Amino acid sequence: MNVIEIAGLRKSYGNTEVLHGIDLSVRLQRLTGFLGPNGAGKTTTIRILLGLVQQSGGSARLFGQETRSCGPRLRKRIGYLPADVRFPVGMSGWAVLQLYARARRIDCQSEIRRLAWQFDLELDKRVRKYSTGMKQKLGLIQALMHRPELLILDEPTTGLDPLVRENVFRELRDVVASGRTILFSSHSLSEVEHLCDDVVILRNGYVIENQPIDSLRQRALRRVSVEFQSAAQIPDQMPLALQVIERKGPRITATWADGIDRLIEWLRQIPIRDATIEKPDLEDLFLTYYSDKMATIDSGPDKGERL
Amino acid sequence: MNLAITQRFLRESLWPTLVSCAGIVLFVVLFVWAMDQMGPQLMEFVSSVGFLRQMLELAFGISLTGAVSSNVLFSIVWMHPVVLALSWGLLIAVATRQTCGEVERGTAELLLTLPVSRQGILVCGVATWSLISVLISVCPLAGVFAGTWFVEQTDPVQYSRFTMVMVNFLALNLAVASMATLAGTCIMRRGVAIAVVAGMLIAGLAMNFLESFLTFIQRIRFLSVLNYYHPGDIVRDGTWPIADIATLTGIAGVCLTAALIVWVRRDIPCP
Repeated sequence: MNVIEIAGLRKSYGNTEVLHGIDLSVRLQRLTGFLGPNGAGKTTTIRILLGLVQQSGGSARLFGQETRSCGPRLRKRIGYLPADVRFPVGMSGWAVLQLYARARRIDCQSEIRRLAWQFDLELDKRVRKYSTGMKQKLGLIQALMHRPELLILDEPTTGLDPLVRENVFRELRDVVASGRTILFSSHSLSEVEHLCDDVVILRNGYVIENQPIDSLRQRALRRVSVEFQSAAQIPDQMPLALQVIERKGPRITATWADGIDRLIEWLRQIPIRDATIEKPDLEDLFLTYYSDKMATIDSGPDKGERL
Repeated sequence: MNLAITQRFLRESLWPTLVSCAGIVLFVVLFVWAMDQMGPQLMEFVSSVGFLRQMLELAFGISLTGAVSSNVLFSIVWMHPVVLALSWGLLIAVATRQTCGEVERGTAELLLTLPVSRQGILVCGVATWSLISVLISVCPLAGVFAGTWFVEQTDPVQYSRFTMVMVNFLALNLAVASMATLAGTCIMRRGVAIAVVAGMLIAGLAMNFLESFLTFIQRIRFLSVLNYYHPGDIVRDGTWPIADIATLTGIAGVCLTAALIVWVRRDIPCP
């Protein structure tokens, strides 16, 4: 079952279209990374899901219901952390959380205390005196405290130290383990790779990937180093998946853009002395494959369809 | 209506409201005392300078020729720029804070993603400034009451007539706050929204002065909310200004309906 279902979603500001009919889905009980550079349309998509912004076309559904028509009822089931979270400054952290809890008509004092302890946040201080990281922790607590079925987190680790970041990741994994769903928006691929089950990659208002991290990893480039018996034995015809980066005597260094079984099959057929195959690096894929996709997207009227 | 959100709005408006209310009461007490001390001499001086008398009559909507009763003089406080500035300043600040002010401060992101409809949030805001309007409308009367407590009056204070003025003042304040709410929902920059409403009110005040000199203003005067607010006439005649109160309430209703339509449909920009 999909918790988030977006089909042909478009958004224009005046004459500028920022979302070009995107399709994406977020599965139940999965931690889905939402990746893309600044201006890709991540925040606009999230804001449409939350009813802060109205779409120009297409549909956005949460739990099978159109977000446009069932706002408050759906928001009861959602926890949200904005990218630039701000609170009423004249109140203490505790008072702010109590305010949001009362506005939601729930009592979650014990959960607030547990999360504050987990994230090491002092709630008695006034929000005015909080550092950026403390405000971020407070934002995370307000998003988590009512145990929502869907968590939408926009850049949740901004300003957090590595120790707290690990605590946050642990908490998020627990959330998913308890049957809930998370949409985790980020700039950082390493963070998403470390934490998420699925990934959605957005660029310039187009979805260019929406699949499990593992299948993306399978398609990731592997760095391969092969040493032949002699330089003369290096074949003239290389497989299409092999991109030679460096040739030094009998040794070539290359990237392999296909399945590992095919690589092994090829290595078995050629006279080699040694071979090193590195683990696929998603960061490389992100940068390389990403720009390739963009070249496809930016050219021609059938943009998007070739993805 | 969500009680927690209303309480938050009230809490944020508490200090400005207390300061404004105290300011109005204090000003009116001083005004009553000043009128007692130098009212007759002041009236004599004003009557002798024709231009000044005409200006003050236009500004306050009362006749200053002949003997002027203390009750008519006290009606000036409901049209006095200090009282109007304190009342409207507070109401415009509160009404715009709950709409474009929330967006500008970035707190709208969390507020509008709570399980409360946008209509519900606007209703919380309206409840807040309605309560403040009632408080602020009572203040001039409380000031007159406190002032006359200390200063012995020859004429009995006509509280029933001042109550009529108070209700008219309340309707005026509700209309002003509704206009500010509408501006706050249409314009996402609070400074601009405040400037627009303040500009409209100042233009209305200016019309009071200019209508004697520029006849075309009489044709457009109906556009100003001050056209439906005449404290001097109410104190002099002692009749309920039903039509004025109804018109001001109607203006408030139209502005609120428009604000609701805009607020529910509009995109909330990033802070």
